[in-house]
Amino acid sequence: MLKVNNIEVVYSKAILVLRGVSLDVKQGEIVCLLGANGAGKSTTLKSISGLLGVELGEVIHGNIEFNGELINKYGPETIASMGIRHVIEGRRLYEHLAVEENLLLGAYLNNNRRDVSERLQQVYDYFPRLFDVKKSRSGYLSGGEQQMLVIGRSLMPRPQLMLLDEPSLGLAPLLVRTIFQIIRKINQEEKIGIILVEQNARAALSICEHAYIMENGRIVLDGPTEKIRENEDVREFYLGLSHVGKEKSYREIKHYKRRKRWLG
Amino acid sequence: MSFFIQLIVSGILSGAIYSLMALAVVIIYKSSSIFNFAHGSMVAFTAFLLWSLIVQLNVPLLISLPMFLVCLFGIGFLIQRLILQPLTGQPLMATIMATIALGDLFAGVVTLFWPGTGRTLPPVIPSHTIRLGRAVLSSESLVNFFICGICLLAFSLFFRKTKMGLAMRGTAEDHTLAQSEGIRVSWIFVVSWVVGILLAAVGGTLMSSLYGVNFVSLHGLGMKSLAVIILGGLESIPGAIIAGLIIGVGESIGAGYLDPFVGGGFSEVTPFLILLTVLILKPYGLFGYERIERV
Amino acid sequence: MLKKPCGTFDETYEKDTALVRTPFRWVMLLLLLGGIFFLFPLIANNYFLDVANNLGIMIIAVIGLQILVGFCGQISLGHAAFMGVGAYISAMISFHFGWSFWIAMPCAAFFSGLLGVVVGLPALKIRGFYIAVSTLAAHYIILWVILHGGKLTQGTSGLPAHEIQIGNFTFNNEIRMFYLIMIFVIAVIFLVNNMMRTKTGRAFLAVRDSDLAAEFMGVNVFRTKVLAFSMASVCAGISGSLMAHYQGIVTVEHFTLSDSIWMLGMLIIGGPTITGAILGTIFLKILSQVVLFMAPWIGGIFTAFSGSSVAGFTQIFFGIVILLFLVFEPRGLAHRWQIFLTTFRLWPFKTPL
Repeated sequence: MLKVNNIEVVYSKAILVLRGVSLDVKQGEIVCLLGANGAGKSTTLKSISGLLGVELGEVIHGNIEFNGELINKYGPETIASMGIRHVIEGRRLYEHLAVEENLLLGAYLNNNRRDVSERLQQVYDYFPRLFDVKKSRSGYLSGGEQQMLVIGRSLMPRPQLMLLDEPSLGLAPLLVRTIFQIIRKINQEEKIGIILVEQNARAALSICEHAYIMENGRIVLDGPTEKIRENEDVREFYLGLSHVGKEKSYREIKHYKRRKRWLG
Repeated sequence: MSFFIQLIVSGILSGAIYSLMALAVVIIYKSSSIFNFAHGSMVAFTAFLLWSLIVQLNVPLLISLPMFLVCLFGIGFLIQRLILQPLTGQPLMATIMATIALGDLFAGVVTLFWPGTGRTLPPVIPSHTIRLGRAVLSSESLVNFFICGICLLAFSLFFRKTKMGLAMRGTAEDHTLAQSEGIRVSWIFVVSWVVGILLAAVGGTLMSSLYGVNFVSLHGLGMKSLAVIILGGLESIPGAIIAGLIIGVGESIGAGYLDPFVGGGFSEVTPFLILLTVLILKPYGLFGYERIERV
Repeated sequence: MLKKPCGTFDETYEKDTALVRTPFRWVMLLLLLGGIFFLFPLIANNYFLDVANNLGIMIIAVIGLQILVGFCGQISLGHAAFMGVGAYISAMISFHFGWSFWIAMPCAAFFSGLLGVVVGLPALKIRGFYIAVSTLAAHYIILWVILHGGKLTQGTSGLPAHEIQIGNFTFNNEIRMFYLIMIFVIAVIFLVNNMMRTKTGRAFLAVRDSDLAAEFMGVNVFRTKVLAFSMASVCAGISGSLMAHYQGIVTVEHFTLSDSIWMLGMLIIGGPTITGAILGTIFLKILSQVVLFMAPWIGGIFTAFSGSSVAGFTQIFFGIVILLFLVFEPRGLAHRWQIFLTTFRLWPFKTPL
């Protein structure tokens, strides 16, 4: 469904952020994009959804294919109308509008009133908490409610592909688990493709089918989730599962630095 | 006592025009978060343009009105495309300066092409004086009042109830977010600017019917409406309505009772005194949205 | 201010915050000062000296505005009104009491500064755009007070102010005023630059970039903003006072909203630094001189509209130039100048924009 082919992305014509990133998302698949801060994960999502222009970024090499069409030159409105929804990092909302108004704006492109209200009901079924607060101003909601609102809003237009940028940011661990369960449920019931960018590697790896690991603007490792989870380097650098109780010798530290350099 | 009632009534009538002018700026602000400092000059410019079409070139009303509308649309479109679109994402100062510069541009055009004073628009409404209780009004003022009222009501409903209105409110909050939802943000800007200019034109025309087409009074009217907007709150249409009336009445009473002491002209400064007081007491205006800041 | 020439390394704190960083820059500075003080009066005739004097007066006011706008991030639409206050106070003191300029000017500056504090007070509760509107309101109110000041200010007919004297020496022609004004300009530039490298200056920059963060770091944001307003007004007061005694007569026409906007425009065109303020002022002055030269042609084209055509044309030109700068070079001429210098410094490498 979505193929990112070897893109290079530059900000302000001077800062090279992505150096040849390739991704593949099949219909209805959850894919996660892991990596440290500054690896270029959000940039990858922004180049897919067309929001690079706002931050003076551009794709200078390679292309992005969505259902066979090249979309890297399209504006964000066009890409959104094609069925890709980007849930921007940081729970961005229309703060002074009510919760329900936020959700309705998500379905802006849909002109069928009845369809929109049915869909609204479905979203309330996914996130019952939102129904309780539907008339309050979204700026005053708690972090978890805001995150639910943001995901719900992107669900409204029945997208084919959702790009979730760090949905667990700043949320309590139990809430993170709830939200991730809902994400998995959405994927299973609606067959929406999802690219999940996360810092919380364990939570992300628990729901995705295929994982990509990014460092310094490149994809350094990818594969089906089981293989990634068992990979030694991933276990040490991202899951914190190094050998407990073993003595640390100087050789180990050298080995660590050498492996980390390889990955970067 | 009848003097007092007269002052109030005339205050309400002029307040209605202020409200309408304020509405023009509020609409632009509600959609694009840009405060149109060029408003005064636009009011003047559109009035002069209409004057040229109707009086100077003597084009019959049936043709000149559509031509006028097309011109307004073109101007709004150009402003949006050439100036505001390149300025997306720039800090507040840039947009303020851009509208100020735009205002100067329009003022310069008016001074250049229509120097001097003494132009009037042909009267459309037959002129009577009407007695309302103890107060005396002119028929033009009353008609103006109703026109303003209808416009204000219509726009209020538009923003609350329609999808487009909701989209405009959303765009005002966060352009990027709206873009990522598929809302054609640049188109919304164009629409809001065109509507703003249209309302400015309506206000200018109404005002001209009372005071003639001259730059100083029209420009002053525009600038006073800025005071109205601040008083009412930048995003609030009901706020604009109420604030317009308050300032209209306040100005009228101030002029009526204080003018003899200060030798005239107090009405020019009342709106700004009211403005400063409001800003100190209630910065976001009577009905404005408080800035929600999560730190 | 913080830009370092390639290859220079500061070893002490004094060197790091020095106003003039390298010996080469000292040489250039002395050459520039020499040029201004010795070369220019020799080659310029009275007309150009007059232009230069007005330019100097304007520069002082614009630098004041730059403190408020470029360094502290507040927007003020009422700066011309403060100039007017300074001019009128100075003229009133010299006209009604007969005191010399050297007493009148500090009074004017002080009073302007006080007024600046008053106008800055709303900054406690309101920010950004609303401050701009409150300065607009202040502008209208101040102008109204001046116009309706009756005998004190002589309203529309203008208030005369006498010439500046030190002892028996009267500054009564352009050259003498040129030297005096330039001394003031240099002094103001030096003082402001000096202030910007102190704690107060850094507080201004912090408030500009994020006043919430500055508040959390211990900067008293309210006091900083009010300070910025008052400093800007003091500069405006000095400038207005100089203008009053230079022109010999003060009227309200010099201090309209248009003038405030022109000054803001100078800042936009110039960029957010002191150099920017100077460059912007010079640029716009040149622009208005160019329009004046072209006046006969303009009158010729628009034969039906003479008289106000120059004023109208200037306004249109001004609006267009500001818009062009906003769209294409928001960091102003100062930035272009930096790029120019950097290209030479970094040659043959490419200069990042």
